[in-house]
Amino acid sequence: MAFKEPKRQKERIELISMVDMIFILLVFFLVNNFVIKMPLQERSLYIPTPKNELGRAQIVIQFVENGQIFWMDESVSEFVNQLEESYGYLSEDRLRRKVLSELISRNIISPSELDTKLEALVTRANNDPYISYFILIRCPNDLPYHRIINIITKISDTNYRNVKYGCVGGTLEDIQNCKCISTVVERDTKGRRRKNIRIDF
Amino acid sequence: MSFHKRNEKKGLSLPGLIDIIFLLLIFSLVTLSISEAKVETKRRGDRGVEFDLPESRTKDTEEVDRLLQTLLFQIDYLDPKNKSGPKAVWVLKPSLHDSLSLEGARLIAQRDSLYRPFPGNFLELSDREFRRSPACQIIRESIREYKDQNFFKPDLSNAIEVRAIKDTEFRIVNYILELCSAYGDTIPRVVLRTLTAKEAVGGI
Repeated sequence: MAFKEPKRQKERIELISMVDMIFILLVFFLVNNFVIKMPLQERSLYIPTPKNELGRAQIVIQFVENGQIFWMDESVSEFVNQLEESYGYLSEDRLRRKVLSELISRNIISPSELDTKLEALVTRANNDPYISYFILIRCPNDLPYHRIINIITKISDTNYRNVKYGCVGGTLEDIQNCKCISTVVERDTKGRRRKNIRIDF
Repeated sequence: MSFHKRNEKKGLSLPGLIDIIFLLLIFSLVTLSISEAKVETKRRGDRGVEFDLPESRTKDTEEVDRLLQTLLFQIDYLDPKNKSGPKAVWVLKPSLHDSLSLEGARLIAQRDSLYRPFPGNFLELSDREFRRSPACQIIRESIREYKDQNFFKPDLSNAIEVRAIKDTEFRIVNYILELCSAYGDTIPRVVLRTLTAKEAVGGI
């Protein structure tokens, strides 16, 4: 008696899997084209050439080597006054050093804190066209320049163009060794009273 | 005699579903590209009337951004393949009618030896030594020459451009800023060209 041979199943490509593969390949190429190979575009940022006028800036941003930032604004004056009262018994030179070290340790902030402060500043500037700010950005020589670009990008897009800025080279050690940090009340070009930070090197 | 009823499963068939999704995707892609083309035509003010406009014989027109409009310092590695090697500055000067592209100006600078490497240890040099380096000298002389020829009076539009790679040290950029600062309001601004990811198409 002859046995029937079992029917051999035809070997064929599964349609579903094939369509799935095509689909995945298509998505891969689309993503590859539109996202990964997204062309770079040049952006022009205007940087005013700085004028090293003492007591011109209301905010000083000093980059520190380890990625942190030293931030000084008009509140410095009150803080310095408080410290001078507390440590009045020290000699003048020791008092200055003590005040500076306290000031620096209190005002070192992280990049994310800097972002928050800058956002708050831009919001304030956008809400009131009649106030203006001048920010001095100090950067050590060996840091890459794109660090300052990140800040300028954030502060240059204000509605009333009332946040002005300048960049100079300098280190935190310069500030540590400065003769005096204080705030002075000055009048700006339009005659308005403004508290400015004054650093005497 | 009873017939066996075939039990046919009711429900969506997966291949059919995938085919439909596939077709929908292609349809939306094609529609998107067509609608973008229409928007582009509307923006140009073309209302369907065809004109025989003269065509440029060159392959592509240069983007405005790629054209050199003022004195530009390009800071890059002397040998682009050697990322640990010294950086150099190329002095790119615009042509008379501002029609020179960045690439063209770079070739001219290379041909005319208008480039100088920065010393390998330039961060350790004193300010005086750094200023005396050949790279700083060519920057200083180029700014002075360009200012004498083009910037006759204080004007907000007077600017020098700097196009530097991302990890360029601030000392180099700061030196250019200081040089321009010395001319006061005659060169009130420096333009820093930075590379950013291109924004997605769609904003009209």
